[in-house]
Amino acid sequence: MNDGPVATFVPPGSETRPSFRTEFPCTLLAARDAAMELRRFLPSEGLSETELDAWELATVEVANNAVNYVRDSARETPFVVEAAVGESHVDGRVWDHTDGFEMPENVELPEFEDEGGRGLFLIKTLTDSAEYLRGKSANCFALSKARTEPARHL
Amino acid sequence: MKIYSQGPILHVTDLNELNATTAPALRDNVRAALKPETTTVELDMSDSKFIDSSGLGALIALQKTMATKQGVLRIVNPTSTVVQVLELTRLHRVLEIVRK
Repeated sequence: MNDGPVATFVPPGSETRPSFRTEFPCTLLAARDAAMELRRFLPSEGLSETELDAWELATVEVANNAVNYVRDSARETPFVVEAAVGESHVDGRVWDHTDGFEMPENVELPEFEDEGGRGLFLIKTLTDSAEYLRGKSANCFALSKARTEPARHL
Repeated sequence: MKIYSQGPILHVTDLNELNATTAPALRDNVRAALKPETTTVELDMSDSKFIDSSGLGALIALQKTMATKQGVLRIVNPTSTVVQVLELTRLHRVLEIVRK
């Protein structure tokens, strides 16, 4: 990925799918707002409360990661949250400006007494697919989750 | 968030969310409010609509704080959303959850 504006994720066929894209300043408060804004968008697409809860929590965990580990030189660069809703799946993407990390194949829960280390577990557990794609100036956390009920009005 | 003592019990109410921005304040304010006679911290989570991994971290931190005082942390009347996250992370097995 080249330097410059963050590219918009456009999954195949998404031009016909309801989609969401918003930029947020790099703060934890904005990370929470991003997840709430995504949740507000999704109900119009007929998702269940359980699905909405899962997307809200997975998104905030990914967005918190984008804020907590942002490079100093990129603190003024917004992170981007995108989603595309299909008949059978919802796809979400969060673009960050961190140094990135290697996504482990298996994510285990930490010991009970550990106060951190559950975010990645939640992200993996709440979604069907969670991939982390590293780029030169930005990285992309790509999430996908099957819908529990087929779309009613798409 | 409201915090008040009633004998040996420290009550915490009005916890709308436990997230990355609110969890540090919960942990720090509860620790600051603990008295020598406090044996129990009760977190009323009946209004908690959301909890993330930072919120879970705060619960564990407070559980550990109370353990050092030979006291207990109780999660009181958690919402179904909170219970789901506790179960997903298996913390329901080690945190004391009570219904009143």
